[in-house]
Amino acid sequence: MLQAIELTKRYEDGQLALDALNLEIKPGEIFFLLGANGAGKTTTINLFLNFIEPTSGKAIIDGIDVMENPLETKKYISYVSENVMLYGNFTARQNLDFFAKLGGKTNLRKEDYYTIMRKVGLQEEAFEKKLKTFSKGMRQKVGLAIAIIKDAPNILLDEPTSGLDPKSAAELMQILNNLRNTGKSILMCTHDILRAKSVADRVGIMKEGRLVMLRSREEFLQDDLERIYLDYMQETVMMP
Amino acid sequence: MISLLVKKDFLLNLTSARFIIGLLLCLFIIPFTLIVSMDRYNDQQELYKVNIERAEDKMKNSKEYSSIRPDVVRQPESLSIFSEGISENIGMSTTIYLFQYPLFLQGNANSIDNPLLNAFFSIDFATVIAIIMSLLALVFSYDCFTLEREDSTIKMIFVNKISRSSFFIGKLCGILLTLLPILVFCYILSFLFIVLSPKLSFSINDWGNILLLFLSSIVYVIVFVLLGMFISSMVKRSSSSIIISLLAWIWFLFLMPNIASYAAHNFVKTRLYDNVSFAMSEIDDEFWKEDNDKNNSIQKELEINGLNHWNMNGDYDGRLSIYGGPRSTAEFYLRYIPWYMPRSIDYADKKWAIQKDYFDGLARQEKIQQGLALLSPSEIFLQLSSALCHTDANSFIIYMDKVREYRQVLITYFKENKFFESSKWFTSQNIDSFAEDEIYQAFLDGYSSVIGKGREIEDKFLKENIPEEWNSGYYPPLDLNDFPKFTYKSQISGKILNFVLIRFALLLFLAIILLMATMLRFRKYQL
Repeated sequence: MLQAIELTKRYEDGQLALDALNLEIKPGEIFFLLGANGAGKTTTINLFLNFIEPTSGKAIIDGIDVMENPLETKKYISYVSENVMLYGNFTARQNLDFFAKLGGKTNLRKEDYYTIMRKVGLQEEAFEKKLKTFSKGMRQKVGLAIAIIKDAPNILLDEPTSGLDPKSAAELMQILNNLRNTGKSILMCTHDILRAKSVADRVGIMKEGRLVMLRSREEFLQDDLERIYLDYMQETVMMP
Repeated sequence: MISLLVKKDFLLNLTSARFIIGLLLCLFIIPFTLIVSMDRYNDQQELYKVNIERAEDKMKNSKEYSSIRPDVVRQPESLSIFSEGISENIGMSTTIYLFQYPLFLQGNANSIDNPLLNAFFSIDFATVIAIIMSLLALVFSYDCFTLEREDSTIKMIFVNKISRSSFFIGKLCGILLTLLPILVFCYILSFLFIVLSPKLSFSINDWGNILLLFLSSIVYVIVFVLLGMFISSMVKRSSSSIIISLLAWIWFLFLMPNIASYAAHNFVKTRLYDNVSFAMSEIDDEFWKEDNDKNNSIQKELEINGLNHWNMNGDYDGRLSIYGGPRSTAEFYLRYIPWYMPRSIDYADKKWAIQKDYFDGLARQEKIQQGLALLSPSEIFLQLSSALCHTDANSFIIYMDKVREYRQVLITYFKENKFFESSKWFTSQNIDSFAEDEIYQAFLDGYSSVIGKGREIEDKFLKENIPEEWNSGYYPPLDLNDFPKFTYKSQISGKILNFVLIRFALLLFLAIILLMATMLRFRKYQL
């Protein structure tokens, strides 16, 4: 479970990136955080991952305060970045092997890696190919495989569909759906409203560091999510 | 976890183009450098042998002790194949005179006999290590953080239970594990060259020095790896990091040493040697004046008016060879030399004060240059290398001290054997076989009467009237079995050991400072 309690981040240059965020993502839930660039989505993820320190408030992962026990919380979290580059001179399997071992999975066999890669939709012939020959979509799938193989209860995804073709994006959503069914808490930051509508259990819209809207699946399916999102974005543009 | 990170970096480095290029570069440059250095060393050895033979011949033919002016020839350092230092600038031999202290070696230690080839650029093993390994260290480390950041892999790593210090140590070890085999490979190559070369031989001490050089090389590589890592931790982009790293490399390897030399040369003024020569010639003039007075007074005492020589050779340095002539002249020298030689040695001491002042100025200049150059890790390493290979300025200064000590040993030898008071100083001829003054005068008169009457008559006269004893060829060379010989064995003296250890400690200190600075910096590194 992921919790943000009054989570605030003000950078050294004075910019308020996140303003008293309160959020709770339960096991078996997919939460989509929408918002324009600079709204505070990535800052939220970075705070959960302890890549940056909060100015105030708390980020809690499975009941453990990230600030108090950052290394311990890492056991319970996986992450997929927007631009998965990984190590180009390693094959997909070698990349997976390295990150799996780093995540504490030391007893996996070659076949286990292949199973995960099949699961994320990577073609068989790509398993032992160097990653530098991969397209962005293929790399993204390897990134997702890395997140899955760790088998952490919480998964953070930072705009994972950006740059993916619709088919790959749809496959990714299917995988997330499956992960939700295994009880994972999933926080996904994105601009992709279509994908949000397809799999999200809840959606939040961020603007200037604040969570300005929170809707359950029933609510946002009833309302027009695109219109609500565009209205918020409009306000952002109109603001002096 | 650290081992996993080390393995990852090691494998990635191993499969990178930079590793292949670095290895190929070393594979080509190191043997080439060693071949050139060994060739140069062999040429210097040949030159040394020729000089030694010449010096021995000179000694072998001496028939009077004043003619003994031994040549000291500096043996080329076998370790110079690792670091040439200043060995090519300092000449190879010097002649020991009693009237003057030896200051520098003369002759060309450079084995290239074609001056037109002076543009030929050759570097030694230590310089290659300093240049190539520092470049490789920076090439492997400049993007160690920035590339992981650009590829977001750093985030993917820190999603796991990895501390920043573990990641940092993993990176450092991974890079070192890649670079150290290249370094070891360079040393193994040099080892093979040494072992396979019949002309090279190293003592246990020399091997110890090579081992120290190897350890210093490791610390040197660590310094540059940490420098690259530090730069990488200061910036966000690899493109910025490589530019800063290359600038730092150029600064430390090429600009800083030259600036140090320039600053030392311009800010620490030394006298021109022309001025030193002039000051010394003034002292010589004073001596010649005193000498002239003494010469006259002895002649007066002996009641002779001018000296007559039949067969005489001499030089301003005190060499005197007299065969034949009137006995009064021989007696004059028996009185004159016991005054002349000690006085000449006294004046040498006076001149040495000026020479030493000049030399101290040069040494001061060199110390300032070396001190300023310590701001560059490559210079620290090169200074250390040349000290270990006995080719640095300190080794030369110690060598010249020994040469001057040898001069003192010769003086003591001559004094103890009372050669200055003996006719053996200037002749092998028995004093009694010099002609009585009247007889010599009669001989000269007779000789004057035949001059101009034809070569045959002159020769006949000389043959009939010149005893064999008046000819230096009549005498065998001196038995010089007990004559002191100059011996010198290069070894790490306390002073040089101190010099080496300080530089080694400086490199270590630099490595520790960079390690701490980079770790501190990386703790705040924005992922």
